[in-house]
Amino acid sequence: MSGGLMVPPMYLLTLSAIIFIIGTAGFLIRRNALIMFMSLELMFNAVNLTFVTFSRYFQQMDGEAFVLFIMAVAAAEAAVGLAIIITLFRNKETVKVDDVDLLKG
Amino acid sequence: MIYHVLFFVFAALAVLSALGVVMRKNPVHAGVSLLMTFVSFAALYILINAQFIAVIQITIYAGAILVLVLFVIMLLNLRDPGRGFIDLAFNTRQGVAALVFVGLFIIELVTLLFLRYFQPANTSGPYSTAKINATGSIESLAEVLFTKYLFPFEVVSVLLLVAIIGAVVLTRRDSKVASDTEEGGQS
Repeated sequence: MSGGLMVPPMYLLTLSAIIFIIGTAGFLIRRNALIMFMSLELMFNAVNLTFVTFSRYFQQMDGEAFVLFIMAVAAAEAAVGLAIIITLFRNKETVKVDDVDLLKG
Repeated sequence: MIYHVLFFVFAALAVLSALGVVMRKNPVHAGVSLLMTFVSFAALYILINAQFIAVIQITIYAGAILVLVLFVIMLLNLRDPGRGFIDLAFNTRQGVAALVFVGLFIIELVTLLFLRYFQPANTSGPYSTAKINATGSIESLAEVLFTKYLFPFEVVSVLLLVAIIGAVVLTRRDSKVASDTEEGGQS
């Protein structure tokens, strides 16, 4: 196997695609802001797995460096996104995004 | 052979816990399922010889982001939705949108699996397994991170600072906001 990938890369890419699909479906179906946030993290993880797989397959390190940046950005986004959810809850007493419709015409 | 078995075990765990995240009613249960997903991903990273990524996956995702999410869930003190799974309603707008997107993705996935585009001519690069085992996983990543990607690294540190400031400013109660929420309703 090339680059230390002990399984064919297609297996990992398929798993990554499946997790991404599950994350997208969760993001679209669930209306609870916290569960939507967790589905976002699922999508991030799927993308991380794709990056690391390709990085190992082509025997580079650039993919892993980018994964580091994605994790840092995900942490920053988690902090700010949850702060927004807390502030929203303080003002409207709900975490269902369907109830936040003040701008609706 | 053993690697294939290990891969399928951890991949099945990852898919089942990802489904658990999406389909559990109680957000705390979904958070614990997400933890299971992170851990099985870390196991997969170790399987493909990316040990540093596995460790920072546990540290950052399971140890920081998930803890933050669970703290926020408990801080918000939501009404307990009970145990079990959600009932899937595909006749709502979100259900239809989800079905369309998932259908498109599945078509793409099947296309990728059966059309076999992926035949690169040259898959060798500077960081083969032997070199990584000789230099070390972290050192190899550092060689690239601090030379080629030095500027994005510095920008990411500024980004984290901005995120900290943003989170503190957003959740700060001014005295005016605090008095409004205490008079206006229970909080």
